[in-house]
Amino acid sequence: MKTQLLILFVTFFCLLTATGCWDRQELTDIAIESGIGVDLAEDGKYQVTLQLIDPSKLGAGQNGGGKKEKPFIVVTATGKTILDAIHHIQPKLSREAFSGQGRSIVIGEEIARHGLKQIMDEFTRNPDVRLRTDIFVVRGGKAIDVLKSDYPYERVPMYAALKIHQAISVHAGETLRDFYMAATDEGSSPITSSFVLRPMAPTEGETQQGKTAQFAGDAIFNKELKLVGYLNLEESSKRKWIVGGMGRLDVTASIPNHTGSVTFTMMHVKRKIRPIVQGNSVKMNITLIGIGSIRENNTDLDLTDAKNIAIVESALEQEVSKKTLAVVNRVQKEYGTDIFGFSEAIDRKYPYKWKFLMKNWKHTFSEVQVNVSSKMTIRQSGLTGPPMQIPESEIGK
Amino acid sequence: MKISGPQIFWIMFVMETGMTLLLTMQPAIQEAKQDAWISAIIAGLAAIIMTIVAVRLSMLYPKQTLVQFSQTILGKWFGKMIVLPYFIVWVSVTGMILRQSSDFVLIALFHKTPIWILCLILILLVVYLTHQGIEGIARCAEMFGPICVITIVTLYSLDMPNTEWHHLLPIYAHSGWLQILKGSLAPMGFLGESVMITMLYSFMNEMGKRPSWVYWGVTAASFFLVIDAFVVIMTFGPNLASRMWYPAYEVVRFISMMEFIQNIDALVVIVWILSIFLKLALYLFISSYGAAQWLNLKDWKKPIWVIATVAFVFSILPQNIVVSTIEYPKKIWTPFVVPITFVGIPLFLLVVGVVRKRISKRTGQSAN
Repeated sequence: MKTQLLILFVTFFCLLTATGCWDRQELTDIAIESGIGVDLAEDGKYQVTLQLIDPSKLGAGQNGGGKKEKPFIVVTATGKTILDAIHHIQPKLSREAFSGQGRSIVIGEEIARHGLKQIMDEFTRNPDVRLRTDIFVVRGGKAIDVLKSDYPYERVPMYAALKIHQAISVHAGETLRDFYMAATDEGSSPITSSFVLRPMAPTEGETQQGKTAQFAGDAIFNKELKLVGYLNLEESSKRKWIVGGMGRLDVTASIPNHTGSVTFTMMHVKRKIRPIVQGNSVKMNITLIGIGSIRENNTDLDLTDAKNIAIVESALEQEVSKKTLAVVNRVQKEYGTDIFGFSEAIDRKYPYKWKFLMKNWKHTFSEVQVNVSSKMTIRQSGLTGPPMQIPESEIGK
Repeated sequence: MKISGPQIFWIMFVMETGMTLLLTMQPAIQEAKQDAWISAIIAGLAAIIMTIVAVRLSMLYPKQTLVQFSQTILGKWFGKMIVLPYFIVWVSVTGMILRQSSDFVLIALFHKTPIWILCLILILLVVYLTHQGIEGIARCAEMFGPICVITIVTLYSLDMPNTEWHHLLPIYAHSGWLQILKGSLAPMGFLGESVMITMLYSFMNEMGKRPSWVYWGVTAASFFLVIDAFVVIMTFGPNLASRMWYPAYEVVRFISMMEFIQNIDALVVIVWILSIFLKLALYLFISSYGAAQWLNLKDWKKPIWVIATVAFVFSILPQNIVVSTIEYPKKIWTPFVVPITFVGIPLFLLVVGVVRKRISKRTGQSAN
């Protein structure tokens, strides 16, 4: 009897307290953040902009008919920290802003140049926020403009930016982690992606209307986490190739002595980095490896001939090596920020020498002698051998 | 009350796994950098040695618990005195585990719930289980164990695409032996809790008396710790991992399989709660049972409520998470609890016990 009473008591106690009602958040009480933008406000404060999803309007699209309402709202406020600004946003919102649903972080260019050291804490300390988050800089613009912009395919425009990024890079979700990893490393400098706001198909006279966010290569930061410059699309794919983690990649090269170009699509992309340290001088031997197939051939070459395949391969190799070396050299000269993982490669092979090199790495990095060699292997050449659009006599042998 | 061999295996494994995986990786990586996995191996070996000492000691008087055989070995008064530190450790650590677990659940799931509610609910559940005695606890362990193994293995496999083995390099260059040893202290303190076998050995049935079950339990927990070190370092690198409160938890939060399997961090909380729950019940059981034997009480269940209350009060005393999760292990557990109650006293009892047995054997033989 006594134990039965006890069990009854415990059961009721648990019923009352353990239901989780304390922390309940109804879906109709929260506003799910799809994106958070940070801009520099006047007097050193931060302007934080949230793009919030309205789920009830997301579903309504299927009924069709009439002009659809936007399924998102954009709110902004300023504050001394990011959370301070969000607390200033809250008075404008009927629902509590909820950041746990994979929002993207958008950084305005001005604040990126000013430095990110002060604003990067919130994204790891807040238990709601996940490290698997996309982060990008708005090239030549403000974060709020990107968050306000519409996108024709996706009902929630921030998902468009995320999906574009995912389509371009296999590891888009790891950008934030990689940013922190490079920032905490002694030698490396972090990068983020950058997006630019411009019309999809620009025509004369069309201006503000119809601008969408487009991927525009990487944004380079220095060790003070200040934005120093950008890589364009092609350059950032070469950088990605050097640091590893490329999925597929296209290279287009013109063939010497034959007019026209060849586009080569690689399905297997690899690289090897071999540092050689002698005293204070550092050499970096980079080997880029690509295996794939020819997808477009504008030249007159007959690709059923092994000799011609070899010609194309060597042209591709030259193109890749030259372009990649140019990217590394430009970054070395203009920015002096190690965004290629060179310091980590040295640390892995020469850990004791690295401890000395580390002290003067910013200077040493610019002096590193870089050799790029590449090995392209063509496995297939599509469905045609010689080009079909030219007569037999013009086919180059 | 009897427990079998497989049961003691699961008891050891479940009790050690949860907290060790979640709480010891950060201090280990902070000291040993990317060589934290070596620290984990050393900690595992040390824990197994501690367990061997504890088991050998228990085998001297297989029908008695620590509280009893310490009196057999050292005499009534000195024997009673020498187990006093154990009671202090058991009760205080019960409170501290209660707090640490509630801290984590608060961060992971319930941000607004007052911490004492979480502590109270957990301790009430634990009191209920402890009332069933060691058999109830052992059956729970048998049930929880496979759940924990499957969950942990699944989570680590799902994290594989996020890992990069070169974060483990260079080996040894950034740490050195001293730092690797320092890094092993935190996991050693958690894995070494297996010395509570001195209180449990007398409950084991004939099959369970084979000590290999105990050793395998500790070995399995150590193995998971080493894997944990690899996974954490390969996912975040030593720099990020050493700055996180719960690196193993962050690893799971980072999982995203084809953008489809993601946000599965609640699974960690399951393993955590199962492990904590069992550990608390064990500590509550051995302290109540020991206290009853120490005070010559007939009913061992009477001290449960007293000890539970003390532990509960102890759990709401720390002001913040730094006290419960960092300072207590670092300033009390590692420098005092491990050397005195895990190593010193068992070793001393073992030596004295073996010597006494030899002497009594010799005198016995000569009397014959």
